[in-house]
Amino acid sequence: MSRLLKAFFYKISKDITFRITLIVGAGVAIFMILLYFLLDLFLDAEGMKMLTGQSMLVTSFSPAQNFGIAIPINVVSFVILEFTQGTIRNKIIAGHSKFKIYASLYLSGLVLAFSLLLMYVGVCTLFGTIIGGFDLDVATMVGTGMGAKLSAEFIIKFVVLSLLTYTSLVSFAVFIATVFRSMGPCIPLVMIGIFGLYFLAVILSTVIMTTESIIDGCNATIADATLQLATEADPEKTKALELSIEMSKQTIETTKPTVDTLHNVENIVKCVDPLYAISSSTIKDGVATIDNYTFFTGIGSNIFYAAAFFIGGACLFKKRDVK
Amino acid sequence: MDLITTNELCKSYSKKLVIDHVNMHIPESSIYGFVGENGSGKTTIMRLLTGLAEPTSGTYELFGLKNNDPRIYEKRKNISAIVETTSLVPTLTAKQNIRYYELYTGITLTEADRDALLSKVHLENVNNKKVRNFSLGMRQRLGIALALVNNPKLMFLDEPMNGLDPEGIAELRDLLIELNQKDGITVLISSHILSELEKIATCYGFISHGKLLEEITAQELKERCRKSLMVKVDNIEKAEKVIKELGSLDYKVSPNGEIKIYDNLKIKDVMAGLDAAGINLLGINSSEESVEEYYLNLIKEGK
Repeated sequence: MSRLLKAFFYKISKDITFRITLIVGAGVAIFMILLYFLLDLFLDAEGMKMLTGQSMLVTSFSPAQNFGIAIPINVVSFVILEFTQGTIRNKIIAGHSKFKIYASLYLSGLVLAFSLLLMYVGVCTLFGTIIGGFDLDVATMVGTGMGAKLSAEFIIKFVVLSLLTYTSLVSFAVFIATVFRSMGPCIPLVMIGIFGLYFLAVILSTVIMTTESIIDGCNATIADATLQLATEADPEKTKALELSIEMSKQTIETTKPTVDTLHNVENIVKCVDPLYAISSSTIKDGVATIDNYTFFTGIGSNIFYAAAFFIGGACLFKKRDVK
Repeated sequence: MDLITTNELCKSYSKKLVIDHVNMHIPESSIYGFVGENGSGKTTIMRLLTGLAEPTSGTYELFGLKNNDPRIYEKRKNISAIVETTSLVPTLTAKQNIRYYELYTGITLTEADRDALLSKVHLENVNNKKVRNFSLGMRQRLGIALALVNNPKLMFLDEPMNGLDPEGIAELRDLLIELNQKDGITVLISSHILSELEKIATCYGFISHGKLLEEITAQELKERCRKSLMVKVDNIEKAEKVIKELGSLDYKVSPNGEIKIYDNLKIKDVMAGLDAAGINLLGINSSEESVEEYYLNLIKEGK
């Protein structure tokens, strides 16, 4: 196994494609910094700053945004080249077991993915911090594009989950590449997989937040109207306030079951969607949070997917002939 | 002692049997010429023996170990192969490809070793040229150089002469003979250039439609491909009698009215004998069967 990994490091150190990918990644990072800088300049949102160290750290980690999507695609391309160039064949002939070869492909894929990720996240966070600072008290943009403060706990949980998400995505990418062994079906499958899971998380969490905000709005209306009722003498205005309270109560009554159902769905999705924890954003009192249930289901689902794709891929690779 | 033996080896793809109960025996330190038409199963057998494919049924032994013995992985380190195409990284140079191969095979060569290896296959002047800019022949030469990195005891070469110029073919032939005679390397080689195989093979395996028709040593083949006298006459029965009277017992009559006499009879004696018996001689010539003819005849008989 160590021989196979040594060979991988040698190949990657000499391979111009990897260097080009690193340069492209750095270019995308600089472009994103410039874009956020311009957004800050022109939007001038009060109390919110787009370009900060913490916002760049969080957004640059996303596997479905910017350079993030290129990382699993690079892994797929690396594995497929091993098949098309015939180096896998040589490794089998040289006496390496298929399991060791598959494990080395996965580990090499991880090294490749984390190298690209480290470069991209590093450039984004470094320049974001230099230009916009790294101040946790400043509200900034989170995954779903909403403004919120990022706590240290959130950032730690987010980084842990992101790293685990890439671990399972690499496992998926190596699996797909080993099954199809050609770029044609692999790229769309990886993109559909990532975007599908990402949008499921974003849409579901946004719907929940919107529905909850309707209830919050109704509660605020009830509280406000109740306060006004206490001092209001005009019977017409009193009637209107009472009607407003009644309508708000009815809205809450009809919306509440939907929210409950959505939360139940969300709890299931959290367990099955490995991208949910880092793609959805819950904002409580203006601070982005990842609750413990989301955090631990995120860890669990990612470990499960990484292991399942690894074992499944290794078994398939062992069973199938190599051309 | 046989370095490779197969026992009722079968391989099927989509329920179609492409390797049909093959029992092969490749002696140690031999150059085994593998002869068969396109799609006969030569490459599939090589892929099975190199571990690239798994047999559907049957087994094989490599260096005395069965294919399902876990110790076989260790033994495979003594193997090198070029099956179908050369496996190279196009973005690396020739030397970098050798270094890459060294790393995953766990062998360390010196810079001088690498230079010597490249000069052995006449690629000493490629310098920093990337493999993607190599010609087919150059790739083939580099593939051969890679196959020599681990000082193999057994080499599988599937059509290694493809893409090589006549000079390259002659050099490869000399190299294989040298490796076989000096270092005792066993070579399993397939080629469509049978005249080239004839120059190096010490034994042969003839395969057609997935079936191994015959295994034969080069010496036995030479004896079977002996000189013959082909006679075409208007009366076969009478001619047979004459041939027997002339002292020949080893002859064959083909359905198209030709008699092939393998005994060393003189043309003038045969002509005189036939003439005396009043048989019209329609044609006569002496010939020596080549490996190609032998193989074609073998297929005909097999059919």
